[in-house]
Amino acid sequence: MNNLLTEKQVILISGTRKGLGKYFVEHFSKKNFIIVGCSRKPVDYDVENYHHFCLDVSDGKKIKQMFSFIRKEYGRLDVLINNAGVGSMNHSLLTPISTVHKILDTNVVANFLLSRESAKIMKKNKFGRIVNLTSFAVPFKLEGEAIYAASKAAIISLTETLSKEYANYGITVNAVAPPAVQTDLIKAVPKEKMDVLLKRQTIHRYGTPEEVCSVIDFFIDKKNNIITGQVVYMGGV
Amino acid sequence: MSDKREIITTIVSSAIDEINLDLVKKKISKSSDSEIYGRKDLLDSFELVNFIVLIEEKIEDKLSITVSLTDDKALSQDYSPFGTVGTLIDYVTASVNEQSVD
Repeated sequence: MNNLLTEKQVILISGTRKGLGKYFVEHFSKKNFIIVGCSRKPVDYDVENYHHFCLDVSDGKKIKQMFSFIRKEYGRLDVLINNAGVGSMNHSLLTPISTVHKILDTNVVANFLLSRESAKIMKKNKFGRIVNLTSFAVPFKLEGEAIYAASKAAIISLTETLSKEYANYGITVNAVAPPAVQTDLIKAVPKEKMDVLLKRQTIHRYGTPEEVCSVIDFFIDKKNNIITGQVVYMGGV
Repeated sequence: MSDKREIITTIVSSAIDEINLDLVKKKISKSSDSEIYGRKDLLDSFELVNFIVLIEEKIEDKLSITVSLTDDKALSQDYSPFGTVGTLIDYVTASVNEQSVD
């Protein structure tokens, strides 16, 4: 049965208000996707074929409402980019439990929720691409980012396990760890600290949003239906 | 039979019709004591997932209610609510009624 209500591919991107998420919206708009995005606050830009939801990505009820919209409006979801994420640089001895919950809710619980609900729609068309964003904080074991690194390690685990659970539905699940990119997330990080980080990368320079999109384009390409459960560490580790 | 239960019975019946199209060896009968998942395992776990997701979607379309039929309550029951068609209808009706109260 054909449930498709549009010929265009539909992509859902979380965390689209700023940083890489905002760039992803522009990138996929140029590629003629219908884009559904979400963040806690409204966006300050206007992009063709973009529909925004203001929500907390760990709120299961609100998430279900967003997916209800996607299913009824478009009848399809081709790609999910699990981009929303929060970080907190702090020594573990000085990290309050509320911060721990906030990071795990946004980075792990939300990733699971969005993946689960996406797969329900994707499996109907026996096609789907899920791309998760993880971090070099995991292999580098960055001091001061214990919970952030743990949450991103969980993303790698989810990527690998969900890739197996969803394989029979024609859905691939992969992850990309962007290199250091000059976004809002690292604006507050002192230059000296960033220089040390760049030295630890195999290629000692900042990456660009275009380069991150290039990896995502590879993962979501229809031809790459045998690439799943993979993690690409950009910049090299 | 309450209106809500009648609607749920129709929804489950329609989901059975759809899932039966994909079943090759066995078909789910619509009688109340017909087994779905449990000792005889009419559906494998993959087919059960498809079946439950299908019912959730039909509830959303028909009643405009979003329910998760695989919450902790379902998994903690002594007897699986997905055992027979009858227990499934009971369970789905209870879940929908709970949602309606919210």
